[in-house]
Amino acid sequence: MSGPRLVRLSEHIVEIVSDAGEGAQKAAVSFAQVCAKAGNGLWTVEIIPSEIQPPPHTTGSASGNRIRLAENPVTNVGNLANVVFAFNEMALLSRFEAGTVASDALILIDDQWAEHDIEAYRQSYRRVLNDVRNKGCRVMEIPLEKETLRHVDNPQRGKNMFALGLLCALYNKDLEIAKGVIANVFKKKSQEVIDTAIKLCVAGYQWGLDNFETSYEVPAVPTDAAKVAMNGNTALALGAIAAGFDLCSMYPITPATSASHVLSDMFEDFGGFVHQAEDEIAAIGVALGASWAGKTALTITSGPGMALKTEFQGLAVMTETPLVIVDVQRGGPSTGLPTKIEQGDLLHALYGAPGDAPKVVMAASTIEECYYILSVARRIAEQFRMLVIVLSDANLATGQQLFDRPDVSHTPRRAPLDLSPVPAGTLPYDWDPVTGLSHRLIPGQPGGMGVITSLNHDRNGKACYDSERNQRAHKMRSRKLAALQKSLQPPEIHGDPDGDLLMVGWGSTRGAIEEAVDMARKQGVKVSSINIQFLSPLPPGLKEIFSRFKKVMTVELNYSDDWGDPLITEESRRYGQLAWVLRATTLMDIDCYAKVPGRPYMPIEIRDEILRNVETPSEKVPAESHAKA
Amino acid sequence: MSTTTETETPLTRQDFVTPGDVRWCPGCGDYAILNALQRTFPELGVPRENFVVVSGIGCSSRFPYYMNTYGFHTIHGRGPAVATGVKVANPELSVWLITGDGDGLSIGGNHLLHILRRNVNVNILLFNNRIYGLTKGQYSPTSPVGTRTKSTPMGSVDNPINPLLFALGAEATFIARTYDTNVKHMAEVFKAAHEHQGVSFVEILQNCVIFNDKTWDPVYGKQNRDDELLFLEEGQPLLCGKDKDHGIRLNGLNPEKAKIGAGGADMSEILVHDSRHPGTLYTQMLAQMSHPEFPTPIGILRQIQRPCYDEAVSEQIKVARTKHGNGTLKELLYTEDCWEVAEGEFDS
Repeated sequence: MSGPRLVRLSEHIVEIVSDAGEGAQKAAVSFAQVCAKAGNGLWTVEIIPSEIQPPPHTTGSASGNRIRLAENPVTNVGNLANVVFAFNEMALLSRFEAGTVASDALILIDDQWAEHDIEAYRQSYRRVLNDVRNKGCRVMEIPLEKETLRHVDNPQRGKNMFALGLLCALYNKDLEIAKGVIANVFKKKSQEVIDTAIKLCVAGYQWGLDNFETSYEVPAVPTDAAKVAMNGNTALALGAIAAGFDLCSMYPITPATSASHVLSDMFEDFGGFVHQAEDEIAAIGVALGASWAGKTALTITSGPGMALKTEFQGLAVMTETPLVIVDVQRGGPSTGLPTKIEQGDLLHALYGAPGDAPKVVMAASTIEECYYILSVARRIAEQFRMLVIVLSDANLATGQQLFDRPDVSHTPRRAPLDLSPVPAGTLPYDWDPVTGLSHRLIPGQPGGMGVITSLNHDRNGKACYDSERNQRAHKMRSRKLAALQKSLQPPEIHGDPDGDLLMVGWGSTRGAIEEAVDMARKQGVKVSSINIQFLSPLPPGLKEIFSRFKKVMTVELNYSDDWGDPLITEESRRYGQLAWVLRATTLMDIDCYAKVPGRPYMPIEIRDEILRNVETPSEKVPAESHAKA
Repeated sequence: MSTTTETETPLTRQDFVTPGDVRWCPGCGDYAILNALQRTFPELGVPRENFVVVSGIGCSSRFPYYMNTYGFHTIHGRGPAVATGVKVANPELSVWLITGDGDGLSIGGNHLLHILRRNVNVNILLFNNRIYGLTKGQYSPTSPVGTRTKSTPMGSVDNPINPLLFALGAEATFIARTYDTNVKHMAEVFKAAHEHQGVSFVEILQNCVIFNDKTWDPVYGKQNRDDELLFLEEGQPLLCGKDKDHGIRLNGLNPEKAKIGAGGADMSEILVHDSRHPGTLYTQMLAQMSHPEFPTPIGILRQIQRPCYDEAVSEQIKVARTKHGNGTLKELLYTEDCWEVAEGEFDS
């Protein structure tokens, strides 16, 4: 009765998976809340099946969450999972197939399949468990179904709360916090539902105390700091409201859609509206038309949608109509990997539109940035009359991270547009010859009547075809980027300002890169990293920073050809997308670590890449990543 | 350049004329359409700065350049999307969408369909010359089978689309047809389109003097029009022929052109025009009546009332704000999707 032996750890990763619809998601999210409220650093990622109702008891049906909890703040999904709690063996198998589980992981699994009526289940249960034991995992069979049945008639409704209690016991969490979380999670349900859930959670907790030999303590310091946790798409939606947007025009596309769903839920209370267009082209067209007519408009999409929007992007650039596009990137090309992460749209965002179409491209690197980035994007779009593309990705979209609660004391909702008359003869493009900036005229504004056009035009907005005015208009549009670049700061360097190796990232790989750099630095490697938020225009000072390192390489989740392949030469090698851009702009020999695993990089993978690219001070450290990349 | 609108001074046609040349081919039907719209606008009681003319790409889509209002010459086929955005952003604006048979029914068919079914309160003028003019003469989706062009030297083989049937398929709430040589009729139809609350779809039979000259002559050519045009007048029988001695009656479910009088149809058999009939069958019958079997109906085929998209959006926002009160960011950061860690209240 002395209870489990307590092992202290600085962090742990636990994955909770079931068949879709069995509630592992809810158990995991509840457990994450318990950890966060206790004071742990946290990152959670959804494990989502790609079909809506996949056949049960298959690897394709696995649904749940990965939770990384730590003593300190967490910036990424982390490395290999230490614990997998699976409701059946196929869900468990799916995690091994994903290559994200440590070979010595603790496996908790519902034991009902050992003696199930269906022979095939019994066999596959034994086979999978044998396999994972042979890998070196410790397997603990849990009477999840049986124990749940002692409290409810339908174990499908309740197993997950028993599991929550079990996890609280495994991680030595305060049961009172768990009870509070349950009450909140089910606050729209009856008191009976809440009471049952709490009863199951307590039972799971007690079962854990009675049966676990060891439990884990990831120290957590309760904090007074107000923090919130949300996924990147929710952060984008709330950020759009905070930024004062009036209209979001969209067409459903994974993994971007949930951002507009969150917006739809609350936008009208703020006087905003989500317009679901007939296609991706119309989605941007409506946003562009609304923006021209004086609303603050954005459109949210993903790769295939970006492709369809390119002609309208050109129109936004040509007519200098303020517009924000959010691209929640997924695997490509074509339909690619709709639910998985890739950073494959950078070059498309920069150069996708035909002709020379200068635009601003920014990337969010954390979920917190997803909240703030749209305020910046809107300000730039309006002040510079420019198209601003904001890149997020599937990792940010569905991951949850804790961050400081935004200060909303000054709600920056914008006042209605000023439609007061302008002097007769005001031109639609009164370009400042130095900055290229011009004043925006809005339909409804007396005195400002005039046409804007997709054709080349002069200051008066009228079409013209001569070479001189074509050159001039291009120049005016291009200068705005140079003017914006003057206001940017060089990126901060994570690590020392000089050294042997600089890892350059953009977007959501930031947390994993910085963690990998910290790991390598502890091993004595002179490595640093930067994250580039502005991809167009690039921030100043890059060349100077790069020159202080012996080698510079980008870390990106997009495709590059491997060195060492006899077919691939210095001349034929295709580089990661940021590497292309940086090589072109700096004329420096910038290498890349760019792959398309369809999941975020683990810090250890990047750490191993760092070690492969420097003379290690002591001995060559072998790669220890188990991941399939 | 223009001066600021002063509400006291009534607007005239001249206020909507832009300085500088109009650059359609000499003899193009578009000139007359421009003239008709410039005559219509001053009569609508709308401040000049509240007119917006949106277009796609094509000869017709050069229109905004020649209207002294706010104008947006957009990209091929996408005018309906831009016009929807404009109208939703500011329902006070009087939005006119200029398109053609290629722009509206080929590359932009999807957007045209959806602006019609949504009933966005926009006036759509589709110039139908049954040819691609700006790309120098390819057959269009309204060209009759057998049209010989550079892209169809042996004649086109695909069936054309009927613009009025297309609009009816989307259940457009205002459907009309007029033609480019009748400025007075065009102006009347434009005015009715403006007055209609909801989407207005107007097909304008238009002549392309270079690539498809006289395409509509069998319908409205001087020598044919008295026999071939059927002017729709509300509450009046469907009469046609130079002496109005023929009429349209039903034979079963099919229309039939019949001579009125002894040995022909009795006046009581002749259909009476009712553009406000809520059903679609009568409009469909009119839309399908075509040369040479039938006279071509001209005028307002259908005008019915249905809530407009732009108004419905404004209304929904109003309802939401009445029900929930104006949103605050503070509330948002307490929703279920983002749970707070530390308890405590906002300071604001």
